[in-house]
Amino acid sequence: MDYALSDLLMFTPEVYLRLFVRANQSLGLWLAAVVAAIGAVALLLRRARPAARQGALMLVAAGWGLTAAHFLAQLYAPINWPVTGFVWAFALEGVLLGAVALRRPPAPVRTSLLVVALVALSILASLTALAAGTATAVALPGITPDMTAVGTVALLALLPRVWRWPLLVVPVLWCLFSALTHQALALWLPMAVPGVGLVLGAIVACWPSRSAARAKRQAPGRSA
Amino acid sequence: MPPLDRRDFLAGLLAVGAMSRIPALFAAEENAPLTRAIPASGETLPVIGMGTWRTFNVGRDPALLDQRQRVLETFFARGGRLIDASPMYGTAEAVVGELLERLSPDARFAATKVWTGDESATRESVANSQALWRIPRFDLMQVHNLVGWEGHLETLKAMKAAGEIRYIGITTSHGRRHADVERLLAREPLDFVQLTYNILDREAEARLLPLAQERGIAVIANRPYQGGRLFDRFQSRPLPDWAEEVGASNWAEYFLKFIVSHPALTCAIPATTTVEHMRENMGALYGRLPDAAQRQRMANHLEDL
Ligand SMILES: NC(=O)c1ccc[n+]([C@@H]2O[C@H](COP(=O)([O-])OP(=O)(O)OC[C@H]3O[C@@H](n4cnc5c(N)ncnc54)[C@H](OP(=O)(O)O)[C@@H]3O)[C@@H](O)[C@H]2O)c1
Repeated sequence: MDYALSDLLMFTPEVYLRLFVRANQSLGLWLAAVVAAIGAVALLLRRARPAARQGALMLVAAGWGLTAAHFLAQLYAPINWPVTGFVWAFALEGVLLGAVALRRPPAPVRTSLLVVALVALSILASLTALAAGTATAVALPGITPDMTAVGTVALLALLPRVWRWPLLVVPVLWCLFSALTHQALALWLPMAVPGVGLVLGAIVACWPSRSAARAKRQAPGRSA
Repeated sequence: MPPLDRRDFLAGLLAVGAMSRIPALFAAEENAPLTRAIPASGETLPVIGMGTWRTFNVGRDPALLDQRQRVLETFFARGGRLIDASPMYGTAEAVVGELLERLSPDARFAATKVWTGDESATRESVANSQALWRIPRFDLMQVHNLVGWEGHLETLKAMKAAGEIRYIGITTSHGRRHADVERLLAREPLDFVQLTYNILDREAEARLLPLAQERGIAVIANRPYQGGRLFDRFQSRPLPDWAEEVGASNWAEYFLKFIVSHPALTCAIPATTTVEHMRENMGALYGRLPDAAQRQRMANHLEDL
């Protein structure tokens, strides 16, 4: 008699997918505020003024707090004990992002890159809805943990590399945990979200800082 | 043939109606749920109970609570009584508590577990589960997977002596710690043991089941479907044409009747999320059970598949 990964799982896929419906439903009008905040993050990241970009990072930090307090603590942790630890980890990540936002603005982003990022995030957001068979199960960044993690990992590319590393720990650990959970649940479609988070996390951890890349471009002959 | 007048027609209808009742009268035996006595007391239990791992951990989701209510309603309507849970099962205890309050069944047998490594926290754990189940007393309190069993068993024995719980037991699963379980069965005054036993996982037959029988300990079989894997493997296959002879009209009955026909077994506790599956599972509570030779044939048949 052997254990399978699924033997350790405490809940069914149906219950898991219902979390997304319930998260969206229970936020009521606040859902519109979150959607507006996601739009605001995108707009602020384009701005040249550092304070605007710092504001974007602050909004992302708030998203971690909301995800911890609502989705994780109220909905997910009661049906899945290990998530309780992540409630605190998400809160910590929110605090860290807030602290970074006060000191360092992320680099500005070109509109074309933002559009690509938003389209990619929209596709990922729809995967839980597709798996659940209802649009009300859409997973939004700032509300649901996988999307919050993926969105943040992408945004961390706009910070210098040494700043990224400590901020990558929680999102990457979460994506690993979530990918394994999805595997045990055999929810292959939504598993793509933490999967993308992991791949992106590896890339962002290694990707050179913008200033370093720029310096390299400006002195092409030096290493030859 | 002379035409039927209205009176003849009505009389005929009445006669047909009366005749249709006759099989039900003769089938009364078949319609009585299969039960087994708890050796410690002689109290009888239906041979099919219900597990709640994964299936009843639905949190406070109103839609899923209503759906599970229908599952539990079907369980009671079909003659079920024993419900098994654990503090380990997330919100399952709270869900069962809420649904028991909604349904207030005539008869239920509430079984849960103590699951904490803190051996001084037995009473606290029982009180917590009692609050979640919203019941004044548990019928059966088991030490989950033998976690902290020494301290917990001592307290549970005292609680039983004081009438605070009716029966005490231990659990294991997946064939773990059978040697420890054997030692405890041999020396502790247990009323119940819960272990994994199904048509493919039969290690318990060698030592634990005979020992439980000899010591007068009731046996609950968990993972009767190997957590659902038995259906994944066999459900697409047709039942053997002799299945009716062993009282099985579907695979659920085939698997469950194999288990509960073992003479040491008291009940099996399949878990399900659906009303349809609950109906199938409760089907095993009725009709005939296979004898020893038929049990062998049932096991052999799966090996051949
Ligand atoms: N150490 C311990 O104390 C311990 C360990 C393991 C288990 N247990 C207890 O034993 C109970 C039973 O074990 P288990 O839940 O692990 O596994 P199980 O009862 O062997 O299998 C449950 C699975 O079988 C499926 N199923 C149930 N009836 C079906 C039917 N008629 N047709 C097709 N599929 C059906 C269910 O899916 P659907 O929802 O789709 O029906 C579910 O996925 C547990 O719930 C728990 O109470 C205790």
